[in-house]
Amino acid sequence: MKRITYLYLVYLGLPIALLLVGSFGQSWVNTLLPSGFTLNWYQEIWQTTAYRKAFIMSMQVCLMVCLLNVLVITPLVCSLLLKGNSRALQATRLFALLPIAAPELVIGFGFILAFTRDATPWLGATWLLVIGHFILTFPYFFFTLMADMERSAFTQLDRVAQSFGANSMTRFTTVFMPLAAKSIVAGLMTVAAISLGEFQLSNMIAGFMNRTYPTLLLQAFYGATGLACAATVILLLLAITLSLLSSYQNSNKNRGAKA
Amino acid sequence: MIEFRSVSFEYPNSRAGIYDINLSVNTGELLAVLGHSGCGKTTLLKLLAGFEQHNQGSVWINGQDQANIPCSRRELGIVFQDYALFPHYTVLQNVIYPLKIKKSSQAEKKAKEMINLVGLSGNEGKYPSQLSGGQRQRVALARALVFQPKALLLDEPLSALDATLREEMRNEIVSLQKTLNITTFLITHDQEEAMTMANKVAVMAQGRIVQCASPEELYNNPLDLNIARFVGKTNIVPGIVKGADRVETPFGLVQTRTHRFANNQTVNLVIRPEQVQAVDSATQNNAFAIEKILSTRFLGHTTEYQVSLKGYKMKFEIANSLTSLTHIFIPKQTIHVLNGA
Repeated sequence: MKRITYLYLVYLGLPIALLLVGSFGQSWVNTLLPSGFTLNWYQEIWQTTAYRKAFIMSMQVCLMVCLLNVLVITPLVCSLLLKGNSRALQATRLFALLPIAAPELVIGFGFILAFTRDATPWLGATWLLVIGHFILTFPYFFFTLMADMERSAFTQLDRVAQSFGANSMTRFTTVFMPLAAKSIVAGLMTVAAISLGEFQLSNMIAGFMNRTYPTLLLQAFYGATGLACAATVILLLLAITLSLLSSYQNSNKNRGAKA
Repeated sequence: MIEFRSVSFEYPNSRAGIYDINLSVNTGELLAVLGHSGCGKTTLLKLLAGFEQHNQGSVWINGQDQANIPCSRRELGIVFQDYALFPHYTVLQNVIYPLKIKKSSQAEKKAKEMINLVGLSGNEGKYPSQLSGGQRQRVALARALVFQPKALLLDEPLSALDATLREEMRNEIVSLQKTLNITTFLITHDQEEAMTMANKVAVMAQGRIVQCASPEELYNNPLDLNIARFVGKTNIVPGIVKGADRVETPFGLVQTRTHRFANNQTVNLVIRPEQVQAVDSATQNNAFAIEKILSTRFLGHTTEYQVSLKGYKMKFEIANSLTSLTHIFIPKQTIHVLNGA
Protein backbone atom coordinates (compact mmCIF):
# COMPACT_ATOMS: atom_id res chain seq x y z
CA MET A 1 0.00 0.00 0.00
CA LYS A 2 2.83 2.35 0.97
CA ARG A 3 4.66 1.61 -2.28
CA ILE A 4 1.54 2.43 -4.29
CA THR A 5 1.15 5.69 -2.40
CA TYR A 6 4.75 6.65 -3.12
CA LEU A 7 4.37 5.68 -6.79
CA TYR A 8 1.24 7.79 -6.97
CA LEU A 9 3.01 10.75 -5.39
CA VAL A 10 5.89 10.39 -7.85
CA TYR A 11 3.42 10.19 -10.74
CA LEU A 12 1.72 13.34 -9.49
CA GLY A 13 4.76 15.23 -8.29
CA LEU A 14 7.35 14.45 -10.96
CA PRO A 15 5.75 16.48 -13.78
CA ILE A 16 5.33 19.41 -11.38
CA ALA A 17 8.91 19.12 -10.23
CA LEU A 18 10.12 18.96 -13.86
CA LEU A 19 8.04 22.04 -14.73
CA LEU A 20 9.56 23.89 -11.80
CA VAL A 21 13.12 22.86 -12.73
CA GLY A 22 12.47 23.63 -16.39
CA SER A 23 11.22 27.14 -15.61
CA PHE A 24 14.59 28.03 -14.08
CA GLY A 25 16.75 26.16 -16.66
CA GLN A 26 18.64 28.12 -19.26
CA SER A 27 18.51 25.47 -21.94
CA TRP A 28 16.69 22.15 -22.17
CA VAL A 29 17.19 20.24 -25.38
CA ASN A 30 17.31 16.43 -25.57
CA THR A 31 18.60 16.01 -21.99
CA LEU A 32 17.01 14.58 -18.86
CA LEU A 33 17.36 17.87 -16.98
CA PRO A 34 17.94 21.44 -18.18
CA SER A 35 21.32 23.13 -17.96
CA GLY A 36 22.11 26.48 -16.37
CA PHE A 37 19.99 28.73 -14.13
CA THR A 38 17.94 31.76 -15.13
CA LEU A 39 14.97 33.89 -14.13
CA ASN A 40 14.63 35.20 -17.65
CA TRP A 41 11.65 33.06 -18.56
CA TYR A 42 9.52 34.64 -15.84
CA GLN A 43 10.75 38.07 -16.84
CA GLU A 44 9.94 37.32 -20.46
CA ILE A 45 6.42 36.28 -19.60
CA TRP A 46 5.79 39.54 -17.78
CA GLN A 47 7.34 41.53 -20.60
CA THR A 48 5.42 39.75 -23.34
CA THR A 49 2.21 41.67 -23.94
CA ALA A 50 0.27 38.61 -25.03
CA TYR A 51 0.96 36.79 -21.74
CA ARG A 52 0.31 39.82 -19.62
CA LYS A 53 -2.95 40.50 -21.42
CA ALA A 54 -4.02 36.88 -21.15
CA PHE A 55 -3.19 36.83 -17.45
CA ILE A 56 -5.19 40.00 -16.83
CA MET A 57 -8.03 38.65 -18.96
CA SER A 58 -8.10 35.43 -16.90
CA MET A 59 -8.22 37.46 -13.71
CA GLN A 60 -11.01 39.66 -15.04
CA VAL A 61 -13.05 36.69 -16.22
CA CYS A 62 -12.47 34.98 -12.89
CA LEU A 63 -13.65 38.04 -10.93
CA MET A 64 -16.72 38.48 -13.10
CA VAL A 65 -17.58 34.79 -12.81
CA CYS A 66 -17.27 35.00 -9.02
CA LEU A 67 -19.48 38.07 -8.96
CA LEU A 68 -22.05 36.43 -11.24
CA ASN A 69 -22.13 33.32 -9.05
CA VAL A 70 -22.79 35.42 -5.94
CA LEU A 71 -25.37 37.65 -7.62
CA VAL A 72 -27.31 34.82 -9.25
CA ILE A 73 -26.89 31.75 -7.08
CA THR A 74 -27.04 33.31 -3.61
CA PRO A 75 -30.57 34.75 -3.99
CA LEU A 76 -31.57 31.61 -5.90
CA VAL A 77 -30.57 29.34 -2.99
CA CYS A 78 -32.25 31.67 -0.51
CA SER A 79 -35.47 31.69 -2.49
CA LEU A 80 -35.45 27.91 -3.07
CA LEU A 81 -35.05 27.29 0.66
CA LEU A 82 -37.76 29.74 1.65
CA LYS A 83 -40.31 28.67 -0.94
CA GLY A 84 -39.78 25.01 0.00
CA ASN A 85 -41.07 23.97 -3.42
CA SER A 86 -39.64 20.50 -3.88
CA ARG A 87 -40.26 20.47 -7.65
CA ALA A 88 -38.40 23.72 -8.20
CA LEU A 89 -35.58 22.46 -6.03
CA GLN A 90 -35.42 19.17 -7.94
CA ALA A 91 -35.39 20.98 -11.29
CA THR A 92 -32.63 23.33 -10.18
CA ARG A 93 -30.53 20.46 -8.88
CA LEU A 94 -30.90 18.68 -12.22
CA PHE A 95 -29.99 21.84 -14.12
CA ALA A 96 -26.99 22.37 -11.84
CA LEU A 97 -25.76 18.84 -12.52
CA LEU A 98 -25.81 19.25 -16.32
CA PRO A 99 -22.45 21.06 -16.63
CA ILE A 100 -20.83 18.20 -14.71
CA ALA A 101 -22.56 15.50 -16.73
CA ALA A 102 -22.02 17.06 -20.18
CA PRO A 103 -18.41 17.14 -21.48
CA GLU A 104 -17.01 20.63 -21.94
CA LEU A 105 -16.54 19.83 -25.61
CA VAL A 106 -20.31 19.43 -25.95
CA ILE A 107 -20.96 22.73 -24.18
CA GLY A 108 -18.33 24.38 -26.38
CA PHE A 109 -19.94 23.07 -29.58
CA GLY A 110 -23.30 24.24 -28.26
CA PHE A 111 -21.90 27.74 -27.83
CA ILE A 112 -20.35 27.69 -31.32
CA LEU A 113 -23.65 26.60 -32.85
CA ALA A 114 -25.74 29.07 -30.89
CA PHE A 115 -23.56 32.14 -31.15
CA THR A 116 -22.21 32.14 -34.69
CA ARG A 117 -25.50 32.94 -36.38
CA ASP A 118 -26.36 36.23 -38.00
CA ALA A 119 -28.85 36.98 -35.24
CA THR A 120 -26.43 35.97 -32.48
CA PRO A 121 -22.92 36.76 -33.66
CA TRP A 122 -21.35 36.89 -30.23
CA LEU A 123 -18.81 34.10 -30.22
CA GLY A 124 -15.51 35.57 -29.06
CA ALA A 125 -17.11 38.19 -26.82
CA THR A 126 -15.74 38.45 -23.32
CA TRP A 127 -19.20 38.42 -21.74
CA LEU A 128 -19.95 35.13 -23.50
CA LEU A 129 -16.73 33.70 -22.09
CA VAL A 130 -17.85 34.81 -18.63
CA ILE A 131 -21.21 33.11 -19.12
CA GLY A 132 -19.44 29.95 -20.28
CA HIS A 133 -17.31 29.89 -17.14
CA PHE A 134 -20.38 30.69 -15.04
CA ILE A 135 -22.19 27.66 -16.45
CA LEU A 136 -19.19 25.43 -15.74
CA THR A 137 -18.78 26.68 -12.17
CA PHE A 138 -22.50 26.87 -11.35
CA PRO A 139 -22.74 23.34 -9.81
CA TYR A 140 -19.75 23.84 -7.53
CA PHE A 141 -21.00 27.08 -6.02
CA PHE A 142 -24.65 26.03 -5.97
CA PHE A 143 -24.14 22.68 -4.24
CA THR A 144 -21.65 24.08 -1.71
CA LEU A 145 -24.04 26.82 -0.67
CA MET A 146 -27.18 24.70 -0.85
CA ALA A 147 -25.75 21.87 1.27
CA ASP A 148 -24.48 24.26 3.96
CA MET A 149 -27.67 26.28 4.14
CA GLU A 150 -29.86 23.17 4.24
CA ARG A 151 -27.85 22.02 7.25
CA SER A 152 -28.22 25.41 8.95
CA ALA A 153 -31.34 26.60 10.77
CA PHE A 154 -31.85 29.29 8.15
CA THR A 155 -35.56 28.73 7.41
CA GLN A 156 -36.46 28.91 11.08
CA LEU A 157 -34.28 31.95 11.70
CA ASP A 158 -35.87 33.61 8.72
CA ARG A 159 -39.29 32.99 10.26
CA VAL A 160 -38.12 34.51 13.52
CA ALA A 161 -36.91 37.62 11.70
CA GLN A 162 -40.17 37.72 9.75
CA SER A 163 -42.18 37.61 12.97
CA PHE A 164 -40.26 40.68 14.18
CA GLY A 165 -41.40 42.54 11.09
CA ALA A 166 -38.26 42.26 8.95
CA ASN A 167 -38.90 42.57 5.19
CA SER A 168 -37.35 40.25 2.58
CA MET A 169 -34.32 42.41 1.91
CA THR A 170 -33.58 42.91 5.62
CA ARG A 171 -33.90 39.17 6.21
CA PHE A 172 -31.60 38.46 3.29
CA THR A 173 -28.93 40.83 4.53
CA THR A 174 -29.23 40.21 8.28
CA VAL A 175 -29.98 36.49 8.34
CA PHE A 176 -29.14 34.73 5.09
CA MET A 177 -25.91 36.49 4.18
CA PRO A 178 -24.21 36.24 7.60
CA LEU A 179 -25.14 32.56 7.79
CA ALA A 180 -23.97 31.91 4.25
CA ALA A 181 -20.79 34.02 4.35
CA LYS A 182 -18.33 31.21 5.02
CA SER A 183 -19.95 28.93 2.43
CA ILE A 184 -19.87 31.72 -0.13
CA VAL A 185 -16.15 32.28 0.41
CA ALA A 186 -15.44 28.54 0.23
CA GLY A 187 -17.54 28.20 -2.91
CA LEU A 188 -15.82 31.16 -4.54
CA MET A 189 -12.38 29.65 -3.97
CA THR A 190 -13.46 26.61 -5.96
CA VAL A 191 -15.09 28.78 -8.62
CA ALA A 192 -11.93 30.87 -8.97
CA ALA A 193 -9.71 27.79 -9.19
CA ILE A 194 -11.87 26.26 -11.92
CA SER A 195 -12.21 29.50 -13.87
CA LEU A 196 -8.48 30.31 -13.80
CA GLY A 197 -7.50 26.82 -14.92
CA GLU A 198 -10.27 26.31 -17.49
CA PHE A 199 -8.91 25.52 -20.95
CA GLN A 200 -11.23 23.48 -23.13
CA LEU A 201 -14.28 25.72 -23.31
CA SER A 202 -12.20 28.92 -23.35
CA ASN A 203 -10.15 27.57 -26.23
CA MET A 204 -13.34 27.01 -28.21
CA ILE A 205 -15.25 30.20 -27.47
CA ALA A 206 -12.68 32.92 -26.63
CA GLY A 207 -11.72 35.34 -29.35
CA PHE A 208 -8.19 36.36 -30.34
CA MET A 209 -8.43 39.52 -28.24
CA ASN A 210 -9.67 37.87 -25.10
CA ARG A 211 -7.69 34.68 -24.85
CA THR A 212 -7.29 33.45 -21.31
CA TYR A 213 -3.99 32.47 -19.74
CA PRO A 214 -4.43 28.67 -20.08
CA THR A 215 -5.31 28.96 -23.80
CA LEU A 216 -2.15 30.91 -24.39
CA LEU A 217 -0.12 28.24 -22.59
CA LEU A 218 -0.80 25.85 -25.45
CA GLN A 219 1.11 28.17 -27.75
CA ALA A 220 3.92 28.53 -25.26
CA PHE A 221 4.81 24.86 -25.69
CA TYR A 222 5.42 25.43 -29.38
CA GLY A 223 8.15 27.91 -28.42
CA ALA A 224 10.94 27.69 -25.83
CA THR A 225 10.51 24.95 -23.22
CA GLY A 226 11.65 27.21 -20.36
CA LEU A 227 9.03 29.82 -21.21
CA ALA A 228 6.29 27.20 -21.35
CA CYS A 229 7.41 25.77 -18.00
CA ALA A 230 7.46 29.20 -16.35
CA ALA A 231 4.03 30.06 -17.70
CA THR A 232 2.63 26.77 -16.40
CA VAL A 233 4.26 27.24 -13.00
CA ILE A 234 2.48 30.59 -12.63
CA LEU A 235 -0.86 28.95 -13.33
CA LEU A 236 0.00 26.12 -11.00
CA LEU A 237 0.88 28.53 -8.19
CA LEU A 238 -2.45 30.29 -8.60
CA ALA A 239 -4.33 26.97 -8.48
CA ILE A 240 -2.41 25.76 -5.41
CA THR A 241 -2.98 29.06 -3.57
CA LEU A 242 -6.69 28.89 -4.23
CA SER A 243 -6.86 25.22 -3.23
CA LEU A 244 -5.08 25.96 0.05
CA LEU A 245 -7.35 28.91 0.77
CA SER A 246 -10.39 26.80 -0.07
CA SER A 247 -9.39 23.95 2.24
CA TYR A 248 -8.48 26.44 5.01
CA GLN A 249 -11.89 28.04 4.59
CA ASN A 250 -13.60 24.63 4.67
CA SER A 251 -11.82 23.58 7.86
CA ASN A 252 -12.75 26.92 9.43
CA LYS A 253 -16.34 26.41 8.36
CA ASN A 254 -16.46 22.92 9.86
CA ARG A 255 -14.95 24.17 13.12
CA GLY A 256 -17.64 26.86 13.23
CA ALA A 257 -20.38 24.31 12.59
CA LYS A 258 -19.11 22.08 15.42
CA ALA A 259 -19.06 25.04 17.83
CA MET B 1 -57.17 38.66 23.21
CA ILE B 2 -56.68 35.77 20.77
CA GLU B 3 -59.56 33.99 19.09
CA PHE B 4 -59.85 31.09 16.70
CA ARG B 5 -63.31 31.01 15.13
CA SER B 6 -64.16 27.72 13.39
CA VAL B 7 -60.65 27.53 11.94
CA SER B 8 -59.77 24.63 9.65
CA PHE B 9 -56.58 23.99 7.75
CA GLU B 10 -55.15 21.11 5.75
CA TYR B 11 -51.62 20.85 4.44
CA PRO B 12 -51.47 20.60 0.62
CA ASN B 13 -51.45 17.00 -0.68
CA SER B 14 -52.00 15.68 2.80
CA ARG B 15 -54.85 14.93 5.16
CA ALA B 16 -52.95 16.30 8.11
CA GLY B 17 -54.36 19.49 9.52
CA ILE B 18 -56.71 20.97 12.09
CA TYR B 19 -60.48 21.06 12.02
CA ASP B 20 -63.12 23.43 13.35
CA ILE B 21 -61.01 25.03 16.04
CA ASN B 22 -62.83 27.40 18.38
CA LEU B 23 -60.61 28.82 21.05
CA SER B 24 -60.13 32.07 22.89
CA VAL B 25 -57.37 33.39 25.12
CA ASN B 26 -58.17 36.43 27.19
CA THR B 27 -55.75 39.30 27.65
CA GLY B 28 -53.10 38.43 30.22
CA GLU B 29 -54.09 34.76 30.20
CA LEU B 30 -51.78 31.82 29.54
CA LEU B 31 -53.37 29.12 27.43
CA ALA B 32 -51.56 25.83 26.94
CA VAL B 33 -52.34 23.68 23.93
CA LEU B 34 -51.57 20.14 25.01
CA GLY B 35 -51.36 17.08 22.81
CA HIS B 36 -49.23 14.26 21.46
CA SER B 37 -46.84 14.77 18.51
CA GLY B 38 -48.72 15.21 15.25
CA CYS B 39 -52.01 16.26 16.85
CA GLY B 40 -51.89 19.66 15.14
CA LYS B 41 -50.84 21.92 17.98
CA THR B 42 -47.86 23.43 16.16
CA THR B 43 -50.08 24.00 13.12
CA LEU B 44 -52.30 26.07 15.37
CA LEU B 45 -49.31 28.20 16.33
CA LYS B 46 -48.25 28.56 12.69
CA LEU B 47 -51.74 29.80 11.77
CA LEU B 48 -51.74 32.25 14.65
CA ALA B 49 -48.27 33.51 13.75
CA GLY B 50 -49.19 33.80 10.08
CA PHE B 51 -46.66 31.24 8.84
CA GLU B 52 -49.58 29.34 7.29
CA GLN B 53 -52.96 30.59 6.05
CA HIS B 54 -56.11 28.81 7.23
CA ASN B 55 -58.58 27.41 4.69
CA GLN B 56 -61.71 28.20 6.72
CA GLY B 57 -62.74 30.31 9.69
CA SER B 58 -60.90 33.30 11.08
CA VAL B 59 -58.13 34.15 13.52
CA TRP B 60 -58.54 37.31 15.59
CA ILE B 61 -55.96 39.17 17.64
CA ASN B 62 -57.15 42.04 19.83
CA GLY B 63 -60.41 42.26 17.91
CA GLN B 64 -58.76 42.38 14.49
CA ASP B 65 -59.25 39.69 11.85
CA GLN B 66 -55.80 38.50 10.77
CA ALA B 67 -56.91 37.22 7.35
CA ASN B 68 -54.90 39.73 5.32
CA ILE B 69 -52.24 40.54 7.86
CA PRO B 70 -48.86 38.95 7.07
CA CYS B 71 -46.68 37.41 9.74
CA SER B 72 -44.39 40.44 9.74
CA ARG B 73 -47.21 42.77 10.83
CA ARG B 74 -48.89 40.62 13.47
CA GLU B 75 -46.50 41.76 16.22
CA LEU B 76 -46.25 38.47 18.05
CA GLY B 77 -43.23 37.39 20.05
CA ILE B 78 -42.33 33.79 19.27
CA VAL B 79 -40.03 31.47 21.21
CA PHE B 80 -39.13 28.28 19.38
CA GLN B 81 -38.25 24.89 20.82
CA ASP B 82 -34.59 25.15 19.86
CA TYR B 83 -34.34 28.86 20.73
CA ALA B 84 -33.69 29.99 17.12
CA LEU B 85 -31.17 32.61 18.17
CA PHE B 86 -29.13 34.26 15.45
CA PRO B 87 -25.74 32.52 15.85
CA HIS B 88 -23.84 35.40 14.27
CA TYR B 89 -25.17 37.95 16.76
CA THR B 90 -24.31 38.49 20.41
CA VAL B 91 -26.92 38.39 23.17
CA LEU B 92 -27.41 42.15 22.94
CA GLN B 93 -27.56 42.09 19.14
CA ASN B 94 -30.13 39.28 19.27
CA VAL B 95 -32.35 41.12 21.75
CA ILE B 96 -32.00 44.46 20.00
CA TYR B 97 -32.88 42.96 16.59
CA PRO B 98 -36.70 43.41 16.78
CA LEU B 99 -36.28 46.96 18.08
CA LYS B 100 -33.95 47.87 15.21
CA ILE B 101 -36.42 46.44 12.71
CA LYS B 102 -39.13 48.57 14.26
CA LYS B 103 -36.77 51.58 14.42
CA SER B 104 -37.57 51.91 18.11
CA SER B 105 -36.01 54.78 20.01
CA GLN B 106 -33.59 53.96 22.83
CA ALA B 107 -33.28 50.44 21.45
CA GLU B 108 -30.09 49.60 23.32
CA LYS B 109 -31.46 50.81 26.65
CA LYS B 110 -34.66 48.78 26.22
CA ALA B 111 -32.73 45.68 25.15
CA LYS B 112 -30.42 45.93 28.16
CA GLU B 113 -33.39 46.33 30.48
CA MET B 114 -34.98 43.21 29.06
CA ILE B 115 -31.70 41.28 29.35
CA ASN B 116 -31.60 42.37 32.96
CA LEU B 117 -35.20 41.29 33.49
CA VAL B 118 -34.43 37.75 32.32
CA GLY B 119 -31.37 37.66 34.56
CA LEU B 120 -28.66 37.76 31.93
CA SER B 121 -26.87 41.00 32.77
CA GLY B 122 -23.16 40.73 32.07
CA ASN B 123 -23.70 38.35 29.15
CA GLU B 124 -24.54 40.99 26.55
CA GLY B 125 -21.37 40.42 24.55
CA LYS B 126 -21.54 36.64 24.43
CA TYR B 127 -22.57 34.64 21.39
CA PRO B 128 -25.32 31.97 21.65
CA SER B 129 -22.70 29.23 21.30
CA GLN B 130 -21.10 30.47 24.53
CA LEU B 131 -24.32 30.14 26.55
CA SER B 132 -25.98 27.23 28.33
CA GLY B 133 -29.38 25.91 27.24
CA GLY B 134 -31.20 27.82 29.96
CA GLN B 135 -29.39 31.06 29.13
CA ARG B 136 -30.23 30.68 25.44
CA GLN B 137 -33.86 30.18 26.37
CA ARG B 138 -33.78 33.40 28.40
CA VAL B 139 -32.28 35.28 25.46
CA ALA B 140 -35.03 33.92 23.21
CA LEU B 141 -37.61 35.08 25.75
CA ALA B 142 -36.03 38.51 26.08
CA ARG B 143 -35.95 38.90 22.31
CA ALA B 144 -39.59 37.84 21.99
CA LEU B 145 -40.73 40.26 24.69
CA VAL B 146 -38.53 43.30 24.10
CA PHE B 147 -40.76 44.94 21.47
CA GLN B 148 -43.92 44.61 23.61
CA PRO B 149 -45.73 42.17 21.32
CA LYS B 150 -49.50 41.72 21.33
CA ALA B 151 -49.02 38.14 22.50
CA LEU B 152 -46.28 35.68 23.31
CA LEU B 153 -46.21 32.35 21.46
CA LEU B 154 -44.17 29.57 23.01
CA ASP B 155 -43.55 26.46 20.91
CA GLU B 156 -42.41 23.65 23.21
CA PRO B 157 -40.06 26.13 24.87
CA LEU B 158 -38.71 23.85 27.57
CA SER B 159 -38.41 20.51 25.85
CA ALA B 160 -34.69 20.91 25.15
CA LEU B 161 -33.84 21.58 28.81
CA ASP B 162 -33.03 19.11 31.58
CA ALA B 163 -35.59 18.43 34.32
CA THR B 164 -34.23 20.84 36.96
CA LEU B 165 -33.77 23.69 34.54
CA ARG B 166 -37.19 23.03 33.06
CA GLU B 167 -38.88 23.57 36.39
CA GLU B 168 -36.87 26.71 37.04
CA MET B 169 -37.70 28.12 33.61
CA ARG B 170 -41.37 27.20 34.02
CA ASN B 171 -41.58 29.41 37.08
CA GLU B 172 -39.64 32.20 35.43
CA ILE B 173 -41.82 32.23 32.33
CA VAL B 174 -45.00 32.35 34.43
CA SER B 175 -43.54 35.09 36.59
CA LEU B 176 -42.52 37.14 33.51
CA GLN B 177 -45.89 36.55 31.90
CA LYS B 178 -47.66 37.81 34.99
CA THR B 179 -45.33 40.79 35.43
CA LEU B 180 -45.84 41.90 31.85
CA ASN B 181 -49.51 40.78 31.79
CA ILE B 182 -49.01 39.40 28.30
CA THR B 183 -51.43 37.05 26.56
CA THR B 184 -49.52 33.81 26.10
CA PHE B 185 -50.09 30.82 23.85
CA LEU B 186 -48.05 27.81 24.95
CA ILE B 187 -47.65 24.69 22.81
CA THR B 188 -46.56 21.60 24.71
CA HIS B 189 -46.78 17.83 24.85
CA ASP B 190 -45.83 17.85 28.53
CA GLN B 191 -48.98 17.65 30.66
CA GLU B 192 -47.12 18.73 33.79
CA GLU B 193 -45.87 21.83 32.01
CA ALA B 194 -49.37 22.65 30.80
CA MET B 195 -51.02 22.04 34.17
CA THR B 196 -48.50 24.03 36.20
CA MET B 197 -48.13 27.02 33.88
CA ALA B 198 -51.49 27.63 32.26
CA ASN B 199 -54.72 29.33 33.32
CA LYS B 200 -56.48 27.27 30.71
CA VAL B 201 -55.50 24.06 28.91
CA ALA B 202 -56.79 23.01 25.50
CA VAL B 203 -56.26 19.31 24.84
CA MET B 204 -55.84 18.46 21.15
CA ALA B 205 -56.16 15.13 19.41
CA GLN B 206 -56.27 14.36 15.70
CA GLY B 207 -56.50 18.00 14.72
CA ARG B 208 -59.38 18.88 17.05
CA ILE B 209 -59.75 20.47 20.46
CA VAL B 210 -61.26 17.75 22.62
CA GLN B 211 -61.48 19.73 25.86
CA CYS B 212 -60.58 23.22 26.94
CA ALA B 213 -60.78 23.99 30.63
CA SER B 214 -58.84 25.09 33.67
CA PRO B 215 -56.14 22.63 34.81
CA GLU B 216 -58.23 21.68 37.87
CA GLU B 217 -61.34 21.08 35.79
CA LEU B 218 -59.40 19.09 33.24
CA TYR B 219 -57.82 16.92 35.91
CA ASN B 220 -60.92 16.32 37.97
CA ASN B 221 -63.51 16.16 35.20
CA PRO B 222 -61.92 14.90 32.00
CA LEU B 223 -64.41 14.53 29.16
CA ASP B 224 -63.18 11.14 28.01
CA LEU B 225 -60.81 8.34 28.84
CA ASN B 226 -58.06 9.60 26.54
CA ILE B 227 -57.96 12.93 28.33
CA ALA B 228 -58.09 11.20 31.70
CA ARG B 229 -55.11 9.03 30.74
CA PHE B 230 -53.20 11.94 29.16
CA VAL B 231 -53.63 14.37 32.04
CA GLY B 232 -51.97 12.83 35.07
CA LYS B 233 -51.74 9.26 36.31
CA THR B 234 -55.00 7.42 36.64
CA ASN B 235 -56.78 4.13 37.32
CA ILE B 236 -59.56 3.39 34.87
CA VAL B 237 -61.97 0.94 36.48
CA PRO B 238 -64.79 -0.54 34.39
CA GLY B 239 -68.17 -0.93 36.08
CA ILE B 240 -71.97 -1.12 35.79
CA VAL B 241 -74.35 1.36 37.42
CA LYS B 242 -76.41 -0.43 40.06
CA GLY B 243 -79.00 1.96 41.36
CA ALA B 244 -78.47 5.47 42.71
CA ASP B 245 -74.81 6.38 43.25
CA ARG B 246 -73.57 2.79 43.17
CA VAL B 247 -71.31 1.15 40.62
CA GLU B 248 -70.42 -2.52 40.56
CA THR B 249 -66.70 -2.93 39.85
CA PRO B 250 -64.43 -6.01 39.67
CA PHE B 251 -63.48 -5.45 43.34
CA GLY B 252 -66.92 -4.62 44.75
CA LEU B 253 -69.57 -1.91 44.95
CA VAL B 254 -68.24 1.63 44.75
CA GLN B 255 -70.28 4.61 45.89
CA THR B 256 -70.06 7.57 43.56
CA ARG B 257 -72.23 10.16 41.81
CA THR B 258 -74.05 8.42 38.95
CA HIS B 259 -76.94 10.79 38.33
CA ARG B 260 -75.96 11.28 34.67
CA PHE B 261 -76.17 7.56 33.98
CA ALA B 262 -78.98 5.03 33.67
CA ASN B 263 -79.29 1.89 35.74
CA ASN B 264 -77.22 -1.03 34.37
CA GLN B 265 -75.25 1.33 32.09
CA THR B 266 -71.62 0.46 31.51
CA VAL B 267 -69.28 3.15 32.87
CA ASN B 268 -65.62 3.76 33.63
CA LEU B 269 -64.47 5.15 36.94
CA VAL B 270 -61.50 7.52 36.86
CA ILE B 271 -59.64 7.18 40.15
CA ARG B 272 -56.53 9.29 40.63
CA PRO B 273 -53.71 7.46 42.50
CA GLU B 274 -53.11 10.29 44.97
CA GLN B 275 -56.79 10.44 45.98
CA VAL B 276 -56.71 6.90 47.36
CA GLN B 277 -56.13 6.69 51.13
CA ALA B 278 -54.77 3.91 53.33
CA VAL B 279 -57.13 2.82 56.14
CA ASP B 280 -57.12 0.15 58.82
CA SER B 281 -60.37 -1.67 58.03
CA ALA B 282 -63.14 -2.01 55.47
CA THR B 283 -65.89 -0.84 57.80
CA GLN B 284 -66.80 2.28 55.80
CA ASN B 285 -68.17 2.60 52.27
CA ASN B 286 -65.59 2.58 49.44
CA ALA B 287 -63.01 0.86 51.63
CA PHE B 288 -61.54 -2.33 50.20
CA ALA B 289 -59.21 -5.00 51.52
CA ILE B 290 -55.87 -5.36 49.79
CA GLU B 291 -55.40 -8.91 48.58
CA LYS B 292 -51.73 -8.55 47.69
CA ILE B 293 -49.15 -5.81 47.26
CA LEU B 294 -47.77 -6.34 43.78
CA SER B 295 -45.09 -3.65 43.74
CA THR B 296 -43.84 -0.59 45.56
CA ARG B 297 -41.91 2.31 44.08
CA PHE B 298 -40.28 5.02 46.16
CA LEU B 299 -41.01 8.43 44.61
CA GLY B 300 -39.38 10.69 47.19
CA HIS B 301 -42.17 12.37 49.12
CA THR B 302 -44.60 9.49 48.41
CA THR B 303 -44.50 5.80 47.57
CA GLU B 304 -46.38 4.31 44.65
CA TYR B 305 -48.07 0.98 45.32
CA GLN B 306 -49.59 -1.44 42.90
CA VAL B 307 -52.00 -3.74 44.70
CA SER B 308 -54.49 -6.43 43.86
CA LEU B 309 -58.14 -5.93 44.95
CA LYS B 310 -59.95 -9.21 44.32
CA GLY B 311 -57.66 -9.81 41.38
CA TYR B 312 -58.01 -6.25 40.02
CA LYS B 313 -54.80 -4.21 39.81
CA MET B 314 -54.86 -0.68 41.18
CA LYS B 315 -52.14 1.93 41.58
CA PHE B 316 -52.04 4.58 44.26
CA GLU B 317 -49.60 6.91 45.98
CA ILE B 318 -49.47 7.53 49.73
CA ALA B 319 -47.12 9.10 52.23
CA ASN B 320 -43.98 7.20 53.18
CA SER B 321 -44.76 7.14 56.90
CA LEU B 322 -47.06 4.16 56.48
CA THR B 323 -46.19 1.08 58.60
CA SER B 324 -48.80 -1.40 57.45
CA LEU B 325 -51.03 -1.49 54.40
CA THR B 326 -54.15 -3.64 54.61
CA HIS B 327 -57.04 -1.58 53.23
CA ILE B 328 -57.62 1.36 50.92
CA PHE B 329 -60.36 3.97 50.85
CA ILE B 330 -61.55 5.85 47.75
CA PRO B 331 -63.42 9.09 48.67
CA LYS B 332 -66.72 9.25 46.80
CA GLN B 333 -66.29 12.86 45.64
CA THR B 334 -62.89 12.17 44.04
CA ILE B 335 -64.21 9.54 41.63
CA HIS B 336 -65.07 10.75 38.16
CA VAL B 337 -67.53 8.66 36.15
CA LEU B 338 -67.31 8.40 32.38
CA ASN B 339 -69.45 6.65 29.82
CA GLY B 340 -68.16 3.14 29.28
CA ALA B 341 -69.32 2.77 25.68
